[in-house]
Amino acid sequence: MKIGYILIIIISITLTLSACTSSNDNKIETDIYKGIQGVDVEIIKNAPPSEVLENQNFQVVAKITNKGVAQVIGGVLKITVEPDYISLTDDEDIITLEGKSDYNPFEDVEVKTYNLESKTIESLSEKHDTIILISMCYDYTTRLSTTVCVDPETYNIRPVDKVCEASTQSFSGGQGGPIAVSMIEQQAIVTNDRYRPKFFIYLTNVGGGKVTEYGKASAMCSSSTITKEDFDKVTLSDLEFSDYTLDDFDCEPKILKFDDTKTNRFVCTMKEDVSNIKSTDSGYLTGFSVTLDYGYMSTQTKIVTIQRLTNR
Amino acid sequence: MGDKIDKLTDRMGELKNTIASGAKRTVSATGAAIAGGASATVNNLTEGGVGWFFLAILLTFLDWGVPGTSFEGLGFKGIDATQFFSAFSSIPNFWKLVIWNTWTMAALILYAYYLLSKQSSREDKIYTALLLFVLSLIGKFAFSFPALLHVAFGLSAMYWLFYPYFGNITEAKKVTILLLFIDFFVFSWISAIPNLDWITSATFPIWAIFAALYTRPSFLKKLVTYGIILMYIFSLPAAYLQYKNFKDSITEKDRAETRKFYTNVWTNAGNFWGNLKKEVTNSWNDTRRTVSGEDFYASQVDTYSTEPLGVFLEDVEAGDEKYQAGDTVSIAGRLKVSSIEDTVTATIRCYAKDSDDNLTKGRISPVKGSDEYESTINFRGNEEEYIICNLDDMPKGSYEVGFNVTFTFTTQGYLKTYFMDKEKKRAMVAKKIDPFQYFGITDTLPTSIHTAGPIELGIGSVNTLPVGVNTADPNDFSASLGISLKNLNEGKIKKIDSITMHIPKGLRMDEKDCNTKIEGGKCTETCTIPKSELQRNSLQEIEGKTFRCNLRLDDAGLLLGSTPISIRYYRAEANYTYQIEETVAVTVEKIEEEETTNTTADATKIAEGGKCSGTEGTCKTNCDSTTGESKVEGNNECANTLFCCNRPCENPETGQTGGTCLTAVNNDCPGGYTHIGGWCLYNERCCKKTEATT
Repeated sequence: MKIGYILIIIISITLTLSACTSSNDNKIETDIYKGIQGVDVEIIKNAPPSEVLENQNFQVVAKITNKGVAQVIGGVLKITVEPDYISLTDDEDIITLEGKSDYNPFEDVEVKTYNLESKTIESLSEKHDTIILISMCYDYTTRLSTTVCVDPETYNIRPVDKVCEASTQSFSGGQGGPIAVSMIEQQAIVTNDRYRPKFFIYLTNVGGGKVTEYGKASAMCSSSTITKEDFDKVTLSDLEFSDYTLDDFDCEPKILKFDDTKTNRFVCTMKEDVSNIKSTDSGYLTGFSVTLDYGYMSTQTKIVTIQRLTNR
Repeated sequence: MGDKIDKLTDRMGELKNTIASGAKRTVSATGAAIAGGASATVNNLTEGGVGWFFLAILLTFLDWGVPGTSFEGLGFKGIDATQFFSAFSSIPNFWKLVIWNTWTMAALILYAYYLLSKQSSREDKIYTALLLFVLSLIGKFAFSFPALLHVAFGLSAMYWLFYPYFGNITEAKKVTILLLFIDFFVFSWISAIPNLDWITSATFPIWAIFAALYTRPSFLKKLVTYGIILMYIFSLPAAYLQYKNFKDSITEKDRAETRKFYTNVWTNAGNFWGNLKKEVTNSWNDTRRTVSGEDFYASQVDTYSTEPLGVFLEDVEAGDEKYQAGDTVSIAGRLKVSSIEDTVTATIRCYAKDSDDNLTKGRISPVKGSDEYESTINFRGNEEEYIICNLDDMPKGSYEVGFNVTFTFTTQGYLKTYFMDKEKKRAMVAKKIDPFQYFGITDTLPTSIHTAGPIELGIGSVNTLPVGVNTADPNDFSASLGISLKNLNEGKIKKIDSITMHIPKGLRMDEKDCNTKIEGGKCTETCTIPKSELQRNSLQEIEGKTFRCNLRLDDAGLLLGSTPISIRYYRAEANYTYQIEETVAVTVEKIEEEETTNTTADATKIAEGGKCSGTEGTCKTNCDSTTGESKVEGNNECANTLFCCNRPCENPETGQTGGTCLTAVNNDCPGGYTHIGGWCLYNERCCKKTEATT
């Protein structure tokens, strides 16, 4: 009898355990710090339709998705139409979107709807093509976190096995923003028996949009005046290396004039008086991160054909 | 069997010699004279091997794919015949399209190089020019990877296959031109015929056939030749079935469409030199105006205009080419109006002009109003009217008899333009940023667009776009607006009734800044040129005129709006009176006594609106398409010899008139009748009794 109970218990436990499947199958493995887009604007299919009649109300629906990790505050979504052919009441929206995080790896989405009305076309025309531009201007941040090797023994004189060697690191797939750090090159400077690392931080515009200075993006989406200094600027707002911060480095330039056709890089050298890494220390791996601030703008276009309503 | 096939091979050899215009004979007799010093070299050339045949077969597989595999070919289609011929006839900027394109320029440069670098015969110069012309057309109308492959194959065959065979490069060029023409043009023409789309470069691989013909004699060549012959022999039953199916399946509509297509092609080809001359003249006039400082703003017809707008005189014909003195001379035609305006008013007159330019007025039918010599008709939308002109008691002589139609018409035009904050533009330019690219705008050089009609209404602005707007200083603004009018057709601009311009909000026009007066001296949004000014500038004589103004900035905020780039339009509308004429030559002869009675009895009179008058019986309708006889019992043809449809087409089922009369050259009229230039959709041919039978 006892054996019977034991058997029943064993079978029950076995069945219960077998109901539990391996959680690995459904595990969502997402690296939120990967990606080449910041805010993505998608014009929903058939909104606007490709053809409308004269004096017809129609909608433009834009789905705005923050695909990156930075938060968007005060982004401007602007819709530009040809007022001779289309009227709309409200052409601007302020967008705030949360970035992805370890706690919330999902993209924050907002859907904006604009009500438009086509106007009358030339009395002798059958149709007229009119353009609708939807521009998104926002300030954004890219942050790269990685590990670098501190290798004070630059000349490999001591016959010991090193923990690591300083090398160039390449990064593909972005860091969850339209401006990506594509490569970090490391050089060692030894002065007065102190080891000072020098970092070359290479940037690429991978988002397909245009770069502006941080804080000036919203002006790009309006008719207001901006100067040439406001374009193509990327600021290195933070750098962390071991226990050192941006203040411990001399970085050139302070604000990078970004040029898609050239090599864009920051060169950061540790200040001479702050380094306490002796040239005789053993090598070790340590954390390294950079934070880049910039404004960004992207535009979507859609052609709508206005058809004549009837014979006039 | 072998002998027979050898004979066939010989016959094919004869064929190739015929195609090449007896090239070998020419070479042996006059080759040295034509090719000059090259003759010694050419004799040493090695004729191509049968590998050319296999290369050509490979090309065919590349075009059409390999049956039974997933490779479906590169889809070589040659030149679209419809597109090609429409470019030759109906595109107003033909000159720019066909002549001023990169391919023609490249061909001209190559030709210039050829002329400078080679001593060649006159014949070779002509065929080189022709070859380069064909290549430039291919470049313009069919540029694609498969087309490049075909051209590369053709040119390679010319140098390494045909040239060694003939020993004369001119003959090689001739064959190459012929083959390129068949390859790129002929197959696409045939494919326009319904159910004949099986005749392609796959079923008739001309490159392979010619490659087989012109390779050096060998056993393999014989084998290939036999193969080709056998393939076509075995294909005969299938081809017959295909032909039978084709014949059975074609409908009257197919025939009509095919006829229409080839008539268009024929008409377009016929208009080629006329159009070329016209476009060259227009181009020269535009250049002259520019050089003389008289800006002229070109414009393009609205691409959404599916048909030409205006008033057209079509099928104007005399009842007879010769009349007897004292007869009533009669001409008829169709007045067709195509408009999307509410009403188009046309005033019709007709006249006969003798050799001394004396005019005789004719009676117009239908009579609208009290004056029988002038008929004013109001048309709405797309309508047409059959009009007749009768001139009584005409004396002996040669006349130009014609209709003169005056009508009012409107042409509208617009030009898109862009404005943006001047500082922003300056900053972007300094940063080498293209504002259009920045804002995702692809239409960076908007062209003036005007509605179809007899006048080209061009709107222009000389400013670099986007126009910078200084929001702080309205005086720091520069934008101009010009309106050009140009007569496009054969008719005359009688007068300009009004020109209205619409400028974007925030801008102002002041006549002090214009080369014309402005109603009220200055204006915003809507500006009108006074009538007195328009009539002073008679356009009839100069065939074109430009009005130009510099614009002033009134309100930058209104002009720019709240968007980073503002898209605005300049618009203009011209109302004018236009006159068209169409004439035919008529001879009035002296009366011959013995024929007087018969001639009077059989005098050709035009049936009005398709109905016979008096005792002339009823005009046949609903004719059978093959016999031309009426399906309705008791219908008589008119005594005036009209048969069926020398009138607007009529739907026999609904009785509704106004169908399309095809203008195909059609000789399907029944015995005793001749075709008079029209062909209705409803199986009614435009026939009349021939003179011999009357």
